[in-house]
Amino acid sequence: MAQAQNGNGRAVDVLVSRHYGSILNFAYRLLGNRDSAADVSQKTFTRVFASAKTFKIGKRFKTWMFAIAANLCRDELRSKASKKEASLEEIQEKAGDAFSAGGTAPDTFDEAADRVFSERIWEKVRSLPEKMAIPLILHYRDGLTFTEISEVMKVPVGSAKSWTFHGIRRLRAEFGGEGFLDLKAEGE
Amino acid sequence: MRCKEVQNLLVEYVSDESAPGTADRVAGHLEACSGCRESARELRFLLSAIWDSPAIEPTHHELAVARVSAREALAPRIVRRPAFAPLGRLGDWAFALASVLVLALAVAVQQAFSESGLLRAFLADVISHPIVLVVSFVSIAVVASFLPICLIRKGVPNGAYNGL
Repeated sequence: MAQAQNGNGRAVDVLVSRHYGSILNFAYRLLGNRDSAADVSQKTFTRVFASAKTFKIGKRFKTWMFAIAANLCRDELRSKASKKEASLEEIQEKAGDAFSAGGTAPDTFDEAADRVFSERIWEKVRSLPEKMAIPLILHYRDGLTFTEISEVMKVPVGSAKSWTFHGIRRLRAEFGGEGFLDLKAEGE
Repeated sequence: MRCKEVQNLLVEYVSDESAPGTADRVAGHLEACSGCRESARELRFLLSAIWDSPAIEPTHHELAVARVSAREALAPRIVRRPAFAPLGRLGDWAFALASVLVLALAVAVQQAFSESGLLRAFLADVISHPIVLVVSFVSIAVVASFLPICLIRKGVPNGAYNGL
């Protein structure tokens, strides 16, 4: 980042290549749309390097970057007219998109069912309040510690922790109520 | 431990993030309680689905666009603007025109004075008053320097490309 601040273009390329995937996946999990996620990811890095001079070397670049991405995702969510639950067809389409982007197609019925179930989980995550969905994704997908999440969201560490775990409890309550977890258990 | 207490601690337990000492107490309760054991299994399954869901890969195009945008954000394009243009382009030309007119007027006045001999008398008067002399020189110097600056466009880089 120090080299990027001095105007080194190659350093910019390295940072973008290293972190773009993480930001893309974070935005995709939160927004549920590939194009919106790519748009937010590009804006994140534009904003990161537009304000590169303000970054203090020694601070965590990762949390600064995720903080910018989280704010952009919040703006994107608020600009949408309403959030509605996706139909089963849309979920299947998204499951297909996610896996075609990853380069693998389901080989068996069970794999396909797992993917649809996975996308259903992410739909539920996106329906959680932002203050629960964001730390949940950052902790369980991006591997950020609660200290790092507290820096991203600018909240106390305890709040980041409790919102994360509360989000998981709410997910479990919703899935348990729909009987999904029982159905999956039967298949095991 | 009671089931209600254990239920509130299960997420941390399943995530291996229990406080020291708490994990053992929860584990002990789970051995004896099938209901809480089932809850833990459901949570484990839910978290596995979150952990194991596949990541999406960025396309080459997305990466290329992000890199270009990031570089442009770091080093904006060179913007050419005049070295001195307080009034803008139109103001520069107006000032230059006014300067040319002033000079032409000065030459005409000089011609008129030289015919009547009044110029010598006028100059003698100016030289005898230092303040008038200084003001006259400064005015001539300002006009003389502004005219070429306004007429000649110089580019001043707004930023700089380094290493790109």
